[in-house]
Parts: sequence; structure tokens; C-alpha cells
Amino acid sequence: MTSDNPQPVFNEVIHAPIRLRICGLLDTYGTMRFDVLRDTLEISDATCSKHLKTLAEHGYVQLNKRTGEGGKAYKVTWVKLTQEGEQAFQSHVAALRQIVAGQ
Amino acid sequence: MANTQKTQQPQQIRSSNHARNQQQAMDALDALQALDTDRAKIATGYAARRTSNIVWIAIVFGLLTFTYWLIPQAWFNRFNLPWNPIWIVAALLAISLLLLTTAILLNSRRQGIAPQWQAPKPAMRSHRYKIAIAVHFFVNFIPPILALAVGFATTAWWSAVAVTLVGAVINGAMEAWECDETVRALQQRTAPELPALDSSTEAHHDIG
Repeated sequence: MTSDNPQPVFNEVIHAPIRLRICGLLDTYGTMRFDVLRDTLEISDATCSKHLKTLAEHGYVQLNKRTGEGGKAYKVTWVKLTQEGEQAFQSHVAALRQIVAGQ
Repeated sequence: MANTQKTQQPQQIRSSNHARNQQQAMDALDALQALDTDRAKIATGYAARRTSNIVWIAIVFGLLTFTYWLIPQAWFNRFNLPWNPIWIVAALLAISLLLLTTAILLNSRRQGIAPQWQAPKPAMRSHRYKIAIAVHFFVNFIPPILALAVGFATTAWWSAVAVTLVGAVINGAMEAWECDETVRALQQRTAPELPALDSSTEAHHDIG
């Protein structure tokens, strides 16, 4: 559970532009399909994977591979923002707002 | 000459710090604006699905209200059916819930996200959205109570149509309100208004 007024904490891992946007989208939707995330951000598979891997290594996102719909052979990756990730993202946004406000 | 240089140094440091702070503020603002742009895209998607959402909700809740009208008819077996009429009520309830679940699953599949039984988090954090949900919760009791009362009083076909329409219209209107509040919450800017950043900010790119 995140609070309405999170403590502002600048997060170097989340601050990278693509990772910030990934967290922003996941914060809104909770769980997204990898391809939808990639298309929304208009980035390549490799770039998206790289940033998700970094976020996953820090425990901010969780990657789940599930079988495609209708028992298709390929696996679909679902990306979920963890509670830790949500808190870190909210704190980072609060820190950014603080910086912009010049405090 | 040396004294002049000494007095200029703190001024240069102050000026450099000021420029660095402003650059950081600009970077932070860019980052927040990127988040706002993404959320605005999501809001556009929700706005585009507004009509279909309202229609689905109106159909499901219209059907549910009709089911409530049928309950007294079934209870008193007014249609003299050879089998227990409560099965009609059970079937209609099941169909309504199935339609609602199908709508949510189809919507999430189209969006490429996990099925959401709640609105997106920015909407859930919005005060206005919470008010819409609370009002919907209380208004939600009107059609069933009305349908039960009317169903108890009469078996006329037009009364069934009327209560179905009441249920559909009330819930459709509430869904429209919730959709509007969701879009409004998603369109709210994360980036605060920038305090007086002076024009010197742009002069620190070491170009020229």
C-alpha cells in the first residue's frame, strides 16, 4: 500500500527516461504485456528487455512468462510493478516534483 | 588584480551552482512531462472506449434490473409455468454476470493489460472519482428496489420495460460519470508549474 504523500527519494535506477516511463505506465495499469509496453514506449525489443532486466534486478518489476492465448507455442511476457517498485516510483516522482519546485 | 579575481570566484561558484540547479530542475521537469504525455495517451484510450463501456454497463444492469422485476413473478408463480420459475431468475443473473466479466476481459485483452476490476491507480487516488464511485454505490440500490416493488404490484409487460430502462439509464449515466473522472484523473499533470526559471538556463550548453 502506497501512501498519498510519499517521502521524496531520488532513485538513480528509476530516473533513466525509459525506466521512468515504464514505471509510470505500470503504476497506472499494474500489469502489462511486454509487447504493449514496448509499442507504447515506441522502443525496440532489446531496449525494452534491457531496461526491464535492470528494474527486475532491483526488485521493482516482476516478469512472468505465460503460454500464449489458445495454447499457442510461444510464451507471452507479462510485466508487473512490485510493491517495492511502486513505492520507489512514487518517492522518485515526489523527489522530481521537489526539484522542480526548487526546494 | 589578484583581489578582483578573489571577489569574482565566489560569484562564479554561485552562478555555476545556480545554473546546475536550474539544469536539474529542467531535467526533472522533462521527466515529469514525459510521464504526463504517457498518461495522456492512456486517457485518450479510456475516452475512446467510453461509449462502448456505457453501452455494456447499460445492457448488463438493465438485464439485472429486469431480473429483479422477475423475482416477485417467479415467487408467486404468476405466469403459471409448469417448472420452477426461479430458474429464469438464476439464468438471467448468471447471464448478467457473464456479460460483465466478458466486457472486462475483452477490454483488458484489447488493451494488452491484466484484467482490471478497478479503475487505473491515478483514478483510484482521485477524490472526484471516489465521490463518483460512492454516489454510484448508493444510486445502485434504486433500480432493484423499484423493480422488486413494481414486479410485486403488477405483471404488465410495460412495467418490465420501464424498470429495465430505469436500471440501464441510471447505471449508464453513472458509468459515464466514472469514465469522465477516470479520464480527468489521467489527464492531471504530474509536473508542477515551474517557478521563475530565468532565461539564463538555456545558456549553459557550452555551445558558442
